[in-house]
Amino acid sequence: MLPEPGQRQSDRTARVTGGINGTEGDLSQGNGRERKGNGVGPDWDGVPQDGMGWDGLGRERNHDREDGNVWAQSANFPELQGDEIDKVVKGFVDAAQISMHGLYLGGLKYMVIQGEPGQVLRGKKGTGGVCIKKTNSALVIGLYEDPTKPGECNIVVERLGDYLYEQGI
Amino acid sequence: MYGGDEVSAIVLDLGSHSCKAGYAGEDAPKAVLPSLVGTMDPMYLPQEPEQPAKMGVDGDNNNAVDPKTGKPVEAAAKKSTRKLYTGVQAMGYRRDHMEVVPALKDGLINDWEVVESIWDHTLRERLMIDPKEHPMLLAEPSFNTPQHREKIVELMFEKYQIPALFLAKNAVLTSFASGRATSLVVDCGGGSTTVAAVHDGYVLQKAIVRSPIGGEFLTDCMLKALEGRGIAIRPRYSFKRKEVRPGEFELTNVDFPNTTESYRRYIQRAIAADVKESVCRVPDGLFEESSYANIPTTPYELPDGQTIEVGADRFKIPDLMFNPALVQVIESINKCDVDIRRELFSSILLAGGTAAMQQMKERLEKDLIEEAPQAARVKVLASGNAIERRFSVWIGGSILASLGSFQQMWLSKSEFEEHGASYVHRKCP
Repeated sequence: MLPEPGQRQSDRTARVTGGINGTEGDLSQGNGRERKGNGVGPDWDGVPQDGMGWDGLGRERNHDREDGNVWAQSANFPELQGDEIDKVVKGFVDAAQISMHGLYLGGLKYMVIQGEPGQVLRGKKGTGGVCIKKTNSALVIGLYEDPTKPGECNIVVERLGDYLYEQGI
Repeated sequence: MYGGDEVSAIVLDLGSHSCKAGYAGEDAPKAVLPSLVGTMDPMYLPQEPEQPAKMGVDGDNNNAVDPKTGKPVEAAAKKSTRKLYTGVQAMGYRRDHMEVVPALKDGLINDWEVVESIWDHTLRERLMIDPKEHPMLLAEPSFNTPQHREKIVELMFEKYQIPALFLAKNAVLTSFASGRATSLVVDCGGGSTTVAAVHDGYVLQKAIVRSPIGGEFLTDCMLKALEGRGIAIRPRYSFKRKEVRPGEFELTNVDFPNTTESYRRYIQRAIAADVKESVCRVPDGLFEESSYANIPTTPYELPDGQTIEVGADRFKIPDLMFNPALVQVIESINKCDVDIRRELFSSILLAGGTAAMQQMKERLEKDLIEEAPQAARVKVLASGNAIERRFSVWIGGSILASLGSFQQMWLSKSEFEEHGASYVHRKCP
């Protein structure tokens, strides 16, 4: 079942469990799991979501780029406003606009710091920040706050992104 | 993850002009050496009486076999091995046919062999440490490319076998050294001047502006100005001094026809740089020939005993910094997010060797106040101490590597082996 446009799949949200050290083991489990799907979009039952979070301090979301559908998100992820995703998608092509005016997610402003052009966007807000990885048809957005370090967030978000990419998503 | 041990980290800052290295936690680098090496083509080296590789049946060197190991020797590899002379002492000695090669070009690493040689010399001979035992914090240019970063990581882990590494951007380290998380760093270094905005400890990538005018450019201008006035700067190796009467010396020229042009320029530049550092001052306003025509001159004694008088050039040369420098600062701030511009204007940090020139801070502040938007409060901060300005990047690294909260951020050897060099982009954003 595909989510309706704009409808949040709260019953499929990621359970935020485990500390940062739990992530490595959990990701590797995911590689072996079966994926059901009808070819248009993935069915998130099979994709690992445990251990993505950081004891509720981090938040994770996977997002379809084209029509703005949310595929999965963790419990306390903020609501994203309409054109924020469009700006992010444009920012992957040319980061000048968001660098000058800020990267907005859920109404909060993040300053754009170095990412990897066309693949990763990173933003900073005080001691916390965001890492956004682009795959073929999805955006993985991870938010973090103190005491999680930017490097730790980058690792988790980008590895999930790499996994999705390998699956062809 | 690499947990901080009692062994302290090494902070290494390779700049266009000099390489600074030392232990984290100290307040100044122990080793400072030029980022240049002397190279000599192997054909000029004294022939060593080693066994030559045996020629193959058809006399073609490509089939030569190394007598020791019995394996074929690559002819091409033998030809490209040039001997490198690193460090102040090795380079201070004049050798025939020795060329001087810089390690960096346009602020980025250009010649990896030269960089390896500098690092080897710094770590093993100056600091006298075994790299296997110390985590390394390397300072990198704020505009470093991903390829360069990966290559540095590979080199450090594979050749030097270090236990852990972190790459930090120069602007961030300077910001740390002054105790601020957000600032606009104006780094007037040897090779170029870079203006970068740092926000909450991270560089805003789109707001970096560079100009090729740095300390070395000013030194070249000083050299040209002196030569233009007919003063010959004689390198120390080109003359002999003999005491003919007590206190009086006679000079005889010594000719070394095989000294390369690059070496001669290197020595002359060192002398001109000393002249520049001793006598130059930044003028209070824009330089005009007429107002400085009657300025009293300052004497300077050259190594060969000549005393020269430097007049208007004292002010004319540093003024070259200011026509582009100003535009750069405003340009950089305008590329930043509108919300932090005000904060950036009020915390502009000056760093770098060239920034240690007298009156640099006052002039920059004055020019910016005129050019900046009215509402902005412009404040330029610079350490009073010239040593701190010169080494501010290194000092910032020393502070960062000693912080308790930093110890979990190192990129460890096991992480490199598991994930590869590209992991550095995630761990050291």
